[in-house]
Amino acid sequence: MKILVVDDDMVQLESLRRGLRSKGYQVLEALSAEDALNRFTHSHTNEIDLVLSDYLMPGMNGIELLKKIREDHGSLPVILMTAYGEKDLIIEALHNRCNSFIEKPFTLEQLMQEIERVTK
Amino acid sequence: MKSSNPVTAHDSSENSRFGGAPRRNPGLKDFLRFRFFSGEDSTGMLGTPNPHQLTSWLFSEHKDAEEQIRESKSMIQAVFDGISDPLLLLDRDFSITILLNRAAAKYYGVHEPGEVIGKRCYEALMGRTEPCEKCPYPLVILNGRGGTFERKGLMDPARFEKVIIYPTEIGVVICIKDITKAKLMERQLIHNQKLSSLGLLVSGIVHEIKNLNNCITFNIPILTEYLKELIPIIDDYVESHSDFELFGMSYPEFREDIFNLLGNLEHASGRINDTVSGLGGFGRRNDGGKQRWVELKQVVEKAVAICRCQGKRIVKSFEVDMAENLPPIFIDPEPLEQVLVNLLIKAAQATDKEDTWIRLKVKQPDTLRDHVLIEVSDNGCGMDEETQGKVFEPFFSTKTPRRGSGLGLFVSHNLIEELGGRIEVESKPSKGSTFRVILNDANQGPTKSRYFSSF
Repeated sequence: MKILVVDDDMVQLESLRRGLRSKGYQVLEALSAEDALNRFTHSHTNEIDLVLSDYLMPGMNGIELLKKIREDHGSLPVILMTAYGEKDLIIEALHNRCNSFIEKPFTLEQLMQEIERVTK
Repeated sequence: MKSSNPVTAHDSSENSRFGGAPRRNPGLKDFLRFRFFSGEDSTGMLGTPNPHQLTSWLFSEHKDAEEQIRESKSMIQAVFDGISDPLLLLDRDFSITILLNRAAAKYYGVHEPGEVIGKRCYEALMGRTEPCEKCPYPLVILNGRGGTFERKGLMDPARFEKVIIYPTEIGVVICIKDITKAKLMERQLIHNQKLSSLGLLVSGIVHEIKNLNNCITFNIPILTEYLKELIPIIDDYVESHSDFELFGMSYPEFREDIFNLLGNLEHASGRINDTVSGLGGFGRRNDGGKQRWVELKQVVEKAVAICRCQGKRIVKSFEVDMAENLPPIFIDPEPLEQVLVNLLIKAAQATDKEDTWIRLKVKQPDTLRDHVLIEVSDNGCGMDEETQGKVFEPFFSTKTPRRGSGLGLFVSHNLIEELGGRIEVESKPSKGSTFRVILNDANQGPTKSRYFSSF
């Protein structure tokens, strides 16, 4: 399974890459939402099975990226990560058919459970 | 004059040539007059009345004028008295020359306003021998320009006043307006703005800490897995090198310590998260209408998490005693949380002993089963009765201005009243204080009166 991980923080990105690879996933990386959208244009959509994106990033945020993915790539599974456990944010994400919302800090085990749940 | 014959009249009203008596005094009848002509036109007249009649006329004119002055003075007094703000009319030398209104008499505690008229304001009203300090009055007289200034209440320093000075031709009018309410609102607004900025700042810091903490939380299990893969290889190596040591430890000790260290890191990361999660909602503005069923335990735990850091540094013992099976209450939890934070911080600031403690107790009183009682007690400096009486008043503070706005307990009191409860204090100097928040049956659900009163 190929996961596109989007986070503006290099250290977070590296941690996620390491963790997910250790569980046998292929990982594509993007340092911004715009960068993630470029990934889509330069690769076939069906190459990516899931998007794991941070919410707060400079430029386009995670929900804006989610909306764009819904417009262009239909029901591709998206998991948003956030350090803000704000209800309003979760509701907005769910309105835009976000598959899952995971609050930081989380463990690899918790992330795996969410990935398995949304890709079942 | 035309004929050089003066005209005399004994009854001017009957003499058409004379032109009648002066309109304002028909009693003046005996006259000697000269008329002046220019050509055929009468241009003027010079005359004198009978001296006796003149004296009596002048006397009556004087009486009229006095009466008129009295009337207008009492009319001005009535207008002044009708104004609810204290007003004074002072002469150039500080004398209360003309009047002070009823509100001013009440303000200065003057029982007989007549007695202070003519006396200097600072003598008659303030019992001083010289003008009050910083009195701007001489400057107003010198410049001839009025103005306004704000001050702490002259008679009651807990209040705020705006003094307006208007110079007029006959003296200077001084008006004293009580602006305590406006000042209070202004301060509360600033206080709320500060809280809301603090809330923004805190939520930014919480976000940053959680993000960074995620690296620790996420990577520790991975690192543990890595080590679990690696350890059997080292185990094999040690089997053939029995004297293997690292950092002065035998291998079995070292092996155990690695996982201890990882366990400590994991624990610390969890604690960081618990602490900052409790701060997440702090400082958010309360816009009302957020009543819902709330478990009191959660509200108390949140407030305790916010204060624990500060409290722990100051007090030796911090106990939380929550009764089992407390019923959920129907309330907006945020103001209650803010009040608890205020009370806990206040308790921590009151400490003055080596062996300090704060106790937070939550229970249902035996006699009032539909009420919930939250008690915050400390063994700090305590308060005398006079201080206890003022403790919920706005701007009342025993602390230095940098440490206290004097609004914390006032705000708490208002918040609890808005929640339909009440707050009380019991204290003894040098023994400590207990603040009690009592949430009554209005918080027992939307079927009660409070729900209906909102329609």
